[in-house]
Amino acid sequence: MPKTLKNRLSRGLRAGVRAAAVVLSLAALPAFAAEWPTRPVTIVVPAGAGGGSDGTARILSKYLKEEFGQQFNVLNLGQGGGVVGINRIVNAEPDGYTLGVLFNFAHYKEMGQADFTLDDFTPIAQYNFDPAGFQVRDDSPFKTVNQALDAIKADPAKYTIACAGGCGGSWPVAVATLLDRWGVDLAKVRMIPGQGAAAAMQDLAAGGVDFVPSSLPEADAMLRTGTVRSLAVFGPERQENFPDVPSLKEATGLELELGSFRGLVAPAGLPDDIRAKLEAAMKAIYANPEWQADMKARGFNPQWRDSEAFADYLKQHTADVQALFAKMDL
Amino acid sequence: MKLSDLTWGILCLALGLGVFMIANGMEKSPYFQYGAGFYPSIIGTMLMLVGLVLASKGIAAARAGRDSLWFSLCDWCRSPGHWLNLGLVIGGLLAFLALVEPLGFLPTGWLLLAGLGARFTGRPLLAMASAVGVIGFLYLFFQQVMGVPLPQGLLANLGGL
Amino acid sequence: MDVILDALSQVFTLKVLGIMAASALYGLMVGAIPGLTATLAVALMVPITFFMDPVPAIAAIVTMAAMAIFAGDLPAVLLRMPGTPASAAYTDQAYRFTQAGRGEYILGISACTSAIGGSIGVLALMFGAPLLARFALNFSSFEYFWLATLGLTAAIMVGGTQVSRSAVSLLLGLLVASVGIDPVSGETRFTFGSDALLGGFGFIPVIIGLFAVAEILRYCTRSVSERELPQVPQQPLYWRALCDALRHKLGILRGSVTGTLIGALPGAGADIAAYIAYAMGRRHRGATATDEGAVAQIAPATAANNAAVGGSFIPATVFGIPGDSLTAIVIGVLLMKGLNPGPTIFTDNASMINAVFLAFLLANLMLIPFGFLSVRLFKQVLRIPQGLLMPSILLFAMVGAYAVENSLFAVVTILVFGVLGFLLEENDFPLAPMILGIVLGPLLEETFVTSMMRSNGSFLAFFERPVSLTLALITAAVWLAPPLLRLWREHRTPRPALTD
Repeated sequence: MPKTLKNRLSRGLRAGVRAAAVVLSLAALPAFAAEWPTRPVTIVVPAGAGGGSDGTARILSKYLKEEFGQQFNVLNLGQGGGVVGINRIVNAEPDGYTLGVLFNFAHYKEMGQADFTLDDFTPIAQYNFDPAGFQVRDDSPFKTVNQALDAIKADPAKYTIACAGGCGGSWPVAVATLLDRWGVDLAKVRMIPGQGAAAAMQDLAAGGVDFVPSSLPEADAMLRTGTVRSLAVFGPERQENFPDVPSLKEATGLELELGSFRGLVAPAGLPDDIRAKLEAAMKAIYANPEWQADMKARGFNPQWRDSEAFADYLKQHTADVQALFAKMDL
Repeated sequence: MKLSDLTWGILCLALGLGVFMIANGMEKSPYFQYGAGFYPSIIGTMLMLVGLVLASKGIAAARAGRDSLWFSLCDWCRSPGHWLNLGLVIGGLLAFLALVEPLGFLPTGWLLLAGLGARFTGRPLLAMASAVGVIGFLYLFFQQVMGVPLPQGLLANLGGL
Repeated sequence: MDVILDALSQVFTLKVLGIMAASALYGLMVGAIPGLTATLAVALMVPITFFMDPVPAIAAIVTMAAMAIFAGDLPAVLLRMPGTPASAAYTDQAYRFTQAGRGEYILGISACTSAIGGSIGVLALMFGAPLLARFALNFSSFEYFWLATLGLTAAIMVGGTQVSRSAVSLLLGLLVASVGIDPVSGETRFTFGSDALLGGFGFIPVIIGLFAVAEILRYCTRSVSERELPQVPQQPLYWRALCDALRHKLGILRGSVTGTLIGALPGAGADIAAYIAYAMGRRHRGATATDEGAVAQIAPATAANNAAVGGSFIPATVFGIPGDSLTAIVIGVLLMKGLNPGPTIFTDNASMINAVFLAFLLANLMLIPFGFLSVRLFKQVLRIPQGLLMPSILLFAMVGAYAVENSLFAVVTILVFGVLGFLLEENDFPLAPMILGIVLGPLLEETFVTSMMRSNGSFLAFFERPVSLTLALITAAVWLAPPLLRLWREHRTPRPALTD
């Protein structure tokens, strides 16, 4: 009895070792030879779970999984207002197994919070752009965006504008760009930082601030209660779901598109074949009506830029933000 | 080790002073009336105040003979075995931090569990066996059920375990 | 009536009930592991819930949240390691019951009060949401500042009798919370050039360090004979717990209302609610001395943290304002299903939203059977030899912290704060005020500084709005009432006051 047991054990052990050796040798090979992706891919989201960037990434991960047959895991790193997450993307191996969602990022460097630049990324594709809306409380005297802009120009220190987050993010930068165009003295404008768009909308309703910039879907519930009004959406045309909100172009004649973009990036140095594969997959996903429907259901506005166009756009974005900060830094 | 109120008071004073100095050294942002140092300097000031209160309490207690002036030794401080336990836990954590990325979560975690378990129970075989079970559970629950990517280390090539 | 029947038929299906039972087990497990929170449980389930039908999806989320908040009490009571921050307020006191062999009794009380508090929160959501949401809209930075101040007052009060020691603990918490990027100016501070510190110390790793790791270090310093002490046989006392819980109905009601109101304020959640409700119960001096007094104090707090979950759905459904990441995820799921948050959600999709609320109510009622069951299971943990249990908890804590932050720096954090917590406790500093300091620090700073910016530096503005004035008066009353009462009592009784 003990002998057979021992035999069986040692036989089992030997078989196990052999099997393990086979698995190891098989597994070691594909790491070099086989096509990317052979294991799950991580998408770093430099924002907490539940927010907008997280929402787009999770929708995207579902479709990317369908394209490649591999898991695309969303990794939330919202610490430090996004700096920690973006640093993680920048410092990852450019092997295609770490991707990231990138949004308006140029202000981090200008504010001295980080030192990454657009050269630290391999742009893959932009898939989303949400134009900023400009909201006031219902009892506000301003009926049009022109009235509001003129009033701010006449006495910049009289009004408070929420930053809907830190005062370098996409929404305050959108407003500051517009104010700058309008000839307002940026150094005198009072911008109030806060905890994001939802908190700012609450503050607006509570009478804490005069203006809140945010995307229209973020303001949707409050708009429908009639507590707040949106004066304009900062784009060339009205938004499909918000036909009553005039576009900046029709209200002021300015050809500006201001707001927040989101795109898929990888660390700099991503091999070209992986980039091309991802870009093609993104293009297919963008054309998928189901993806479009999922995005619109969450209130995200799809917008396409391929790898090259996205790279140019990032360059433009960096230059714009630098110019703006230079003006504020009198 | 029990530090007296006087020692704690001095520590608080020093910390408060340090915080206050650093906070005051921060430059004021041009756009905001209050820079990043405004609020920490308030905390620093309050720490110094509490430090003063504690220190004066400590002096009073020492004068009345209720407490020693600087510190008193506790019961366990005299036993080297207890210091070794503490050192093992802290050292084990540091070793885990150093090894988890090169080796991967499974072997490193197992080493930590088995090592500490063996020391605390005095039964290395039991500790090693139970460590296998715990590690397996952690791996299944976090990596497989909750989708948390744990460091893979050596096992990275195993087709994305 | 049709709406209710329709809603009932949507909830009481095999599929929804099955999903709720599975989510309940998952929520209990996550909540019971030190450091894993309700929010994390939900966040990690997002990929699944995003693509389910709305009623089962939201039913799963609310069940998980309710169970996880309750389950945070399991390790808090039995091991002195709170599973979620919402349990940290009363951990010390509840652990004393375990040492006396009555841990199950206090957990039974907790399960009952959690169910009652949670149900009251949901009922408020069902019938009072628009009204309560209007109330929340009165809160601008001035009101939040006073709320934070009130919370800090509570922190000092839960810290025990030595005010200076509580104050040190609280100030350390505020200091820890200020590391990283300043929420107002966006500048970095106290990072000493380290990238890892840019994001500040993660709240969850800090709490794991202060409680779980510190407890393990404390274990290291016990002699062999003392080590197995916590394994006092626990008497099963569910039935008594159920009856006793009902005896504290006033306290539970007070805790539930407090929890619902605080939960309804975006940005203030279950943890703050539990602290404030706990501090309110501490009004009676010497309440902690007796078991009866201790239960009277713990019961409102356990009710409050579950009530806050229902409360937090109020601004989320009415105005689409998420108070925390949990409700942010819920809003995401609602939108995904075409249920747009807003005042019309109650009329446009009446049957579906009622089905969601019913599921929420059911989830809270399930707390009693599932809660009792989980106590029975978790109790078995105490039978594991401590020498094996402690290293395992250490590893759970490390992986939990890592899972929250997705970074090894979280493990560094639990080590640093484990040592700090150990040292502070060895020297009789209470840890509860520090936790609340970390929770409230960012809120306090941001609301204080932005309010000052708004008022151009005038402190008078903090008293100008009706709600902020009321809160200021309450805060002042909390600070001034005890000494004034003592003066009055001394005045009435001719005997000289006792030194205490």
